[in-house]
Amino acid sequence: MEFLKVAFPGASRVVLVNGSPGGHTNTVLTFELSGTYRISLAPPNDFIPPVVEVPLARTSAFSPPVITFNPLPPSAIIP
Amino acid sequence: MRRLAALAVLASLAAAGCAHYPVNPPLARWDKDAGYRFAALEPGAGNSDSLFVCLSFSGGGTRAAALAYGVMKELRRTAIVWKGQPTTLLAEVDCISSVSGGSFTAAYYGLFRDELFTSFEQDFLKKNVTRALIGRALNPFNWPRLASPYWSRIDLAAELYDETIFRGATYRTLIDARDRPFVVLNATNMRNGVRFEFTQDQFDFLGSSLDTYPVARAVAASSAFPFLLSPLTVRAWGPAPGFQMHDEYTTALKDFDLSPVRYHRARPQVDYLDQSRVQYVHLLDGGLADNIGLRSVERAAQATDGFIFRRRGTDAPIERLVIVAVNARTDPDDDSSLSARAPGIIGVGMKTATVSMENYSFETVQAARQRADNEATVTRMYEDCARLLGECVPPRLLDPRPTFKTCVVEVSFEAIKDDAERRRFLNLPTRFDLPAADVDAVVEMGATLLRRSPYYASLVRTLGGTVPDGPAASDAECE
Repeated sequence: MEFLKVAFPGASRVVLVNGSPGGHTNTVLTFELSGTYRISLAPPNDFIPPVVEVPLARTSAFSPPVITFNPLPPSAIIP
Repeated sequence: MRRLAALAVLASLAAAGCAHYPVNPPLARWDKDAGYRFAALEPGAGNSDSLFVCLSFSGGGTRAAALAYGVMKELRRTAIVWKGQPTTLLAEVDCISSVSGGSFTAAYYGLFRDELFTSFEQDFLKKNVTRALIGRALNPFNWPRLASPYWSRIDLAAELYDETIFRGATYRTLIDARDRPFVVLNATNMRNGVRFEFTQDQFDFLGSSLDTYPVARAVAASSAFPFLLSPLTVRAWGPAPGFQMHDEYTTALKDFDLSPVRYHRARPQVDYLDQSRVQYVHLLDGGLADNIGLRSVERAAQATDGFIFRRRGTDAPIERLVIVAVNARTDPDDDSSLSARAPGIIGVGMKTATVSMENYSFETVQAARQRADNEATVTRMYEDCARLLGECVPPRLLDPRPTFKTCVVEVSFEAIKDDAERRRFLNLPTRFDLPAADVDAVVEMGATLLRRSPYYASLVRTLGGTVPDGPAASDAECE
């Protein structure tokens, strides 16, 4: 079993794992299988980077790897 | 007279040349939401999203179909209360995955719902399907068709099932029903032994639409027992216009070393897209790849495009996952084990086709239980750690970890306590013409075994129901 935390400031957002809803930001996500996953957030597209590809193997439930998305300034958001 | 005979021969040859199995059509344009997919189905009356129930039905001819039917009857009788709403466990069933004999019960329920409990015995369980199949094969009107290279015994079987059991229903019937359960009929790709499921997600990789495909043909493929029935063929058309492969596959193909499981699941699917390698897929009995039908449920929970995984980030996440694995495995007494003489070529052929089917059923159920245990262990550790941290370093340092409980219930003849009774059921044959008394006994045993399962009893008690004659609480609980 593998673990990952997706950090994003502010309100909870849906995390997309390989494009599918896989949990919420700022909680520990669980993956039954190790492997490479493409992580992003559900719309609106107001964050950077747009997507992060992360290999997960031998992770820990209590100290999982953390990937961070940051809010874009309003002027940079493409509607 | 000679002219008439010559004309008859010519007509037969012409008919033989014309006879062709129904070809699954190409997709005009790919649409990720169209077709027979889990997301296209609504929960239906009495079905909540938060209690998620999946059934798996094994192979084993009429015996397997009857055992699954007995379990369905018991699920229908089991009243529970979920989120304050009274319902039954049958109403809560969200998916059914099946192989071979179990596919008859799964498809029949998917198409005709409660008619299962009034018509299925007459339509299938107590019908001599073997005799009907042989009768069609011996009918001279079918000989020209059987002489065609594009029409074989499996097409004859599919036609019989279509006319006498499934009433000409196609997957469009299942789509139009709009309600769960999502029925996954599994066959095996003869080329590589990989599981092949009759869903639009699978047919996307063939560039084909499942909408107009007869359900009876899917059931026939799922139960195409090697040697006795020929393989069923479907066409791979190459990727449909607009097709976009899910990232589950693109990322998994990079994971040969990091995650061999994901890689080996993705590779054969992606291979279907390569027209230089695959234009036709020849399908055999689903039991060759997984004789308990549980692997599609496991994949749905593990893979990021799986319909169970995908519920994690939704507004209606799963709180409790219940898997009922109905395993009609037998262990017949075998004369060869009492003989010094090695079995002949026919005996070896039959054993090769059947023994391998049973090899991994036990491990598959255990893997599902292990997955549930791992999840529960991490959750317990997390809760304990959060509690301890909360006691000494407020506020809590750990974020909540969303998860759901999984309960795996197995129904198997092996659980029969009485030795003589167990031997009786473990010696039932795998065929489509079981005597009516045996059918009744298996149906009753299916319900009894479910009630006697300590996993099931504790689950039902936790859900506010009662199990008549159920065992007392034990370590095998699903609370």
